[in-house]
Amino acid sequence: MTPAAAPELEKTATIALVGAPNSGKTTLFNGITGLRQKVANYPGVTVEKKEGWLNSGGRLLRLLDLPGIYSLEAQTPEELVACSILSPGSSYERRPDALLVVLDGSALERSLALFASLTALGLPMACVLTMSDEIKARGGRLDEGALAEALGVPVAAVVGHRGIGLEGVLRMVDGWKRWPVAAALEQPPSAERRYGWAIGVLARSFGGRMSEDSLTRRIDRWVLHPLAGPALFLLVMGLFFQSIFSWAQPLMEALSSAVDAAGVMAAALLPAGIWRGAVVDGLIRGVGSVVVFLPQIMILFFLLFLLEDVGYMPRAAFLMDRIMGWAGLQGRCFVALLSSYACAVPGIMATRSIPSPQDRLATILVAPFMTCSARLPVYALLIGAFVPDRPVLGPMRSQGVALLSLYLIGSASAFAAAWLLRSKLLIGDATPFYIELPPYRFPSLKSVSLAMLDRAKLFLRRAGTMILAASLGVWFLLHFPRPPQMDSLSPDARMQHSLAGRIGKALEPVFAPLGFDWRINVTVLGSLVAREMAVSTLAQIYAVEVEQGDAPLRRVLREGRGPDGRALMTPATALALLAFFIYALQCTSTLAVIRRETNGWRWPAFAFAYMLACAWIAGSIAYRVGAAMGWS
Amino acid sequence: MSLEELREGERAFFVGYDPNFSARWRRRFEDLGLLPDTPVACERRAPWGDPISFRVRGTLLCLRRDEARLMRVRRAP
Repeated sequence: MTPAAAPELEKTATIALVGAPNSGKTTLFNGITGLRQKVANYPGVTVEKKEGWLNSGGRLLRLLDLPGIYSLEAQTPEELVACSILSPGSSYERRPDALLVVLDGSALERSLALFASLTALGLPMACVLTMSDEIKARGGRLDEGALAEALGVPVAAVVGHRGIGLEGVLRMVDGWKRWPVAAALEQPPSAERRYGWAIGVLARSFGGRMSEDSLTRRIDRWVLHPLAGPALFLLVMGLFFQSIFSWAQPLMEALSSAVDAAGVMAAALLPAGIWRGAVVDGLIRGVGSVVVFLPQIMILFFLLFLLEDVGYMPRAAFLMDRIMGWAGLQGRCFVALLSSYACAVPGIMATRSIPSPQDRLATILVAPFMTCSARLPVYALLIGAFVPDRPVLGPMRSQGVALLSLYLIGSASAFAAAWLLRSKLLIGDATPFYIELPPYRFPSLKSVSLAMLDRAKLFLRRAGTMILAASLGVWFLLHFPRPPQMDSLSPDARMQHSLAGRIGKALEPVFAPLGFDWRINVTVLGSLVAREMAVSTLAQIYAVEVEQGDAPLRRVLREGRGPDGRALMTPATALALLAFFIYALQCTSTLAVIRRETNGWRWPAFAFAYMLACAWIAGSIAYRVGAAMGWS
Repeated sequence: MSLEELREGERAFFVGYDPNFSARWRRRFEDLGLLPDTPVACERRAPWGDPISFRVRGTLLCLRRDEARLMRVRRAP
């Protein structure tokens, strides 16, 4: 051994997880690394490579989770990531040393055809058979020993989401240095040859007849029915939004009283003065008014992750594809738009699985119209304040219907904008659409709950950092500079003298058609940092205006009156504010991710400007409608 | 006949791709297993008749009519 070769041995080895989309790579990755990357039951969830570490006999191993591929020919940006890391001339820092190939037990022929492509890479390989429970449940018998023999590499079977068989995989990975290089098919292996080979392998290892998944078929008869399907879609969505209101109420009240108690305690402990104001009004009231929406956020994500895990999302894409077609997009864009219901940032990242660059850009530019979780506190606050709670149909009540309408208007606007963009600005041919409908899978409550808790932590971290800093900033802008004879002035007059008050006043002509006064103008400005800031800013301003002690913000909005005796917010103004929030792109993180995904400031600037224009127009129309209904 | 003409529940064997089918995308559908003599069955049509889901090699694959129209099949006896 030459001295130069010694450090080479010390290098950390890299093993890449390779498999078809939705074959369970990330579930397996999370299972053996203990990480919690996003998983769901539809193709295209992983769009970037993810790294994890593994201790193998005292030595660290690096595990790479790659986006799913069907062969080594990439058709989308995300597949290109996987293929270029695997290719012999890899541009990646270092090519993987071995491959852990994931074979999807519910799609064996396709998985083996992919394995056949991978043999051309000449790397040591081993296989993990996922969803092995589904083979048995459907009447098939797979002899793992015979499969290993036919493939020429070790095979371990798992049921990833139940954690069954993971020790076997870990043992196999420990011995990765002994993995063989499988015999390659003649070059280049055509699809016909690969599938022919796959059928040969199965002939030697597979017994019984795999029946169709009858449960999936029975459920699909209703879920995908031409009439019942769309009706069920609307019903699922309606119940979804109603439960956000009904289930959250008791928890939210408990949180509100905790926040109020903290405010009272801080007020008693701190000496009177600027700092008491900053802590009690800026920090506790500002941040607290946002934090009380934690239950809604948790319910939203719990239900969303549940639908994802079961396998409903690609079916929603199947039902909606025709509508997407009218908008000039394809069903795959729908999956990216659906993930924007959580947050536009992962939604925009998910567009990497869209093959056509025009479709992809159009989807990026309309994704912020999809109602993200940051809008939820604003919507829930205004609906709770101004929509009376009445029964509508069965378990659906008026507030849930109002929230559902806001989501529907947002989604319809996204489709309309996509149609305009695709037909006027981003002209290009439609690319073929294909999507797989995975079998329904029983969701793992544990993984859904853990994923929900991760989102709850993220929400609280955001409240404790960004919202906290912005709330304090708004407090200072609302209280400084101070007027000369401050004690002789009313709190309202003092606030109007502050920097924020003056800016709000200066903007009054711009937002007068929407019925916004200077207070709401300051709210809109505050929400440019992040949408939740609207709640924090309203809480701070109205706390000064209305001396109602600890009345909930909802009631203050509905009943509060300014010094001139007029209502602080009329229902017509609230309607205009809701309409404004449907359209405006008030989110610095979204602008940053659009910049990153489109390589420049041009498209984020375009998105911001056109969405602001839409918001202003929609707000003016909503205000007029509200006024005509006599709500002002 | 084309794949698009299959009625719900009807079975067929895949024959090949129309010359107008884009070469790049043809390779993708071949990767998905749509090859000569592959058994396919039309499972169901979405509302408004588009897209259509097919059972191919034990999986459910959805295609739009525009693509299915350019794929040739022969009806299973």
